[in-house]
Amino acid sequence: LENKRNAPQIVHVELTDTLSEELALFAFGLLESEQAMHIARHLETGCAVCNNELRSLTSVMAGLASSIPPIDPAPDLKKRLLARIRSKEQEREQPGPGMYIVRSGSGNWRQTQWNGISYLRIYNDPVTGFAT
Amino acid sequence: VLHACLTRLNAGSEEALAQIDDHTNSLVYSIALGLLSDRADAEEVTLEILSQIWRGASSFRAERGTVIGWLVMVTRSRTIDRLRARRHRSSEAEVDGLQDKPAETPTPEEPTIAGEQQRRVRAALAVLPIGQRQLIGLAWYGGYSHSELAEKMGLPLGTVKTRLRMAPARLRQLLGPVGEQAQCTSNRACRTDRHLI
Repeated sequence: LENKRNAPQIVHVELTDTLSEELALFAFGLLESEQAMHIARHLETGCAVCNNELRSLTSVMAGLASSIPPIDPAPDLKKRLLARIRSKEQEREQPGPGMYIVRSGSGNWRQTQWNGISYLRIYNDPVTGFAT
Repeated sequence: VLHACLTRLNAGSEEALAQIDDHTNSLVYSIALGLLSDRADAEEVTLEILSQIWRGASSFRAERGTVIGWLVMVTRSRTIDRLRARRHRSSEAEVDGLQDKPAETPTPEEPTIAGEQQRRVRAALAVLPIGQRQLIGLAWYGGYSHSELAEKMGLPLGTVKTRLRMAPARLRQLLGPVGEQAQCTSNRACRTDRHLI
């Protein structure tokens, strides 16, 4: 888990003290962002040793979090959340003039009840109700 | 329930998002508030986290733990980013004063909520050697990098790393299944629903 941007990713065969320390620092959010991103990328490779250790650490984090007295946020938070995501969706759905290219892997593709069929709304006019 | 909601989110279900909000917003908000000591900032982080979940629920990996464990990590990471950005903007002394005294929530060493889970966490923390306990407290609420933490505690970096490796390992032994079973008992919606994960 050395902090080298282009270093080849390693799959570990055993949990060493150094690995354990790095993952604990990662779990507690104590690493600088570049170091944290490096570890996140390593975890994405599927290294079982590191993912298992992280699983163990997240259970400790969840345990610690469970000792925090709960404080409720403002009651209108859900309303604000839904308004925010709808507004973001609408921003994304308003294409600029001219040709609009949609890549198959990007955007918020929605699944349907039919296997293998999904859709992406790329244009929506709230006045006319016209959608593409 | 939460796992099922995340799956439904991928299909764009607003109802699933509302349900996740019902069950987790107090947990996320309480963690953020403990670090930021500012209600408006903590609410903004809560909105960001839940919007992020809406956009990319698929970033959850079941092999890395429970939904709650993942949420705690994501929340801390996002909040610490915000805290560090704020530190860059404000004077170090001013922020230090703020962080040494979390204004509205106690540290995990000082839980005030009754309940078996909270008592067990408190008892487990009490068993840790004082150095490890202090480190866990500062690591949890400080939002410092490891080198800043070493400087703040007047310890070599190696000692900080060693303690941070040993403390969670000991806590894991002491807590047993508590962490694995940790529920988001924070939210009203969860206090009556014990089958979240």
